[in-house]
Amino acid sequence: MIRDPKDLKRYTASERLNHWTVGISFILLALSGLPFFHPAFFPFTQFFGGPVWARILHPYIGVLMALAFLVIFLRFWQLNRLTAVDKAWLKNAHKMVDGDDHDMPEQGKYNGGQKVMFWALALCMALMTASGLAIWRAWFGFDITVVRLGAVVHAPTAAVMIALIMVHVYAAIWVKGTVRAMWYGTVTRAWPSSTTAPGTARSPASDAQVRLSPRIGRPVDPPFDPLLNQKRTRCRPFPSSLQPWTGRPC
Amino acid sequence: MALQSLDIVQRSATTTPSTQARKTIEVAKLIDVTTCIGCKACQVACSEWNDLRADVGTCVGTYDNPTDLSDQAWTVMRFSETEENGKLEWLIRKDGCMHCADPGCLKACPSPGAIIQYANGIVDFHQENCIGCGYCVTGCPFNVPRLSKTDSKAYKCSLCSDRVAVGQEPACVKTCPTGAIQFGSKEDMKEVAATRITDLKKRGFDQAGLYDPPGVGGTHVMYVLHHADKPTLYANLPLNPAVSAMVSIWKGLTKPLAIASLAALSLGSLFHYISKGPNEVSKETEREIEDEDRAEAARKEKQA
Repeated sequence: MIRDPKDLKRYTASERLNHWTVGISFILLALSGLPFFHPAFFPFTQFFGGPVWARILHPYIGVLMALAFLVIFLRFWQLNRLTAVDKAWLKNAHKMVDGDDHDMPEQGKYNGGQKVMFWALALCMALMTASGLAIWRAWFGFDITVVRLGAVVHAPTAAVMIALIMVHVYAAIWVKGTVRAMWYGTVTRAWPSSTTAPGTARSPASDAQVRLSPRIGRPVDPPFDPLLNQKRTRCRPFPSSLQPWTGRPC
Repeated sequence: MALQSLDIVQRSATTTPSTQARKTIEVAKLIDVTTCIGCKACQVACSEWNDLRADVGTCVGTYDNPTDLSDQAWTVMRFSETEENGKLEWLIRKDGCMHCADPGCLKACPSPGAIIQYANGIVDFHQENCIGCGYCVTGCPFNVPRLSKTDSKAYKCSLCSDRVAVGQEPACVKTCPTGAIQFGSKEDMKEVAATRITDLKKRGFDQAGLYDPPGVGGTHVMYVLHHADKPTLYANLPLNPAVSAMVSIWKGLTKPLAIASLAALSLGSLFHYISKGPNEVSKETEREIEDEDRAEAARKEKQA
């Protein structure tokens, strides 16, 4: 369903289904795994039909998540390669978090923060899968040192991964207009970081996917741009590698 | 199997203190390896009393049978041939749970009350609460607990907690024909051991001694060894057993650190949202897009 023909398409249905598979399996894994980490969470096992069922199901859900995550990874890793622009973005990230996003450089489909999140989650997922298999006694019987290493890696990595996902979810809630991309695959034309840049950013939902990261605010006063040695105008063109420059004046 | 008539002082996956009021004496089983003849009567008694039947198995070239502990064999005799002081020695050790004062299995267990420690020192598995994760195996420094292939519950020697609760000695102790296994208060057992060690030293076993490893806070199953300086001779009895550092980090530091971080992050996010407000598209941008749309529409109309 396209809510507004002028909306920008960010994710295909297949990409959204993939993301939801990962998301649901992550929630189930956190709910069934935390009880084995700290007794405070032990009641969560009741969601799975008791602690024994939680123990039985947890690793299978883990396999599902690992596979679904792998597909997401293969789909998006090229878009998440870190560039010099991302470093500039990350350098200024604290200002954006503080509510001032005037200095944030223009980005591709993903901004520096999203890319760091992507690679951190990929690393966690790899560690979780390897350590999880090491401690899966229903199918494997590794040497005790391997099992202990698996246990000591699995729990803290899970905590880091839960923390990363909390940031991921909060960012989606914080930046308004983001969550709908997860539901419908579209964002409004105002949502990306350069609404005035011409080209695909303005193409309707039927066209190519929007290649822009979330908008990171509108400057009230155009800030000083050391690169251009002039006041930066709001409609500074997008990097030519990403946007064909149409010659439209700012 | 757990018998609830004994006071429980420590309980797995429980953050509040268990019963502490009644003080009972600590018990211990003393296994005098130097007196053991390897008859396996203790294995049979254990199997009889606890209704366990291990597979008959085959000869693997040693007297070991069953060759390893299992859910059906809570104690096994391990036979080691070694040469000490220029003489062949046939060392026979009765292997099984050591009932540590600081049990790694209990520390690792995620299921509340599946592993308990009684006031008398016995560490017992309560299979009713066991979820079959095998964390006890990961935590044990002596490689004792075994997961059953039929019910996925963990099993090990209970030190016959059901017999001890009613004032009887464990089945293996009751049956031992040479008196190599004795049972009593830990204090008394240490005294018995001391007498025997003095005797052994007189007979030329200079390194004879008691195995009551301090790394696990001492054990409630102790050995008298002829070569206490080399416990590994006895089918790899660990020299300085302790709960693995990996298990301690996993079940120690990680827990409060992770929970505090996640709690701080949730609260931090909420407070950030409240103090900084959401990151929204400005009215100005929205208006701009609307204006453009209107201009576009007007242009099309003009063309038409």
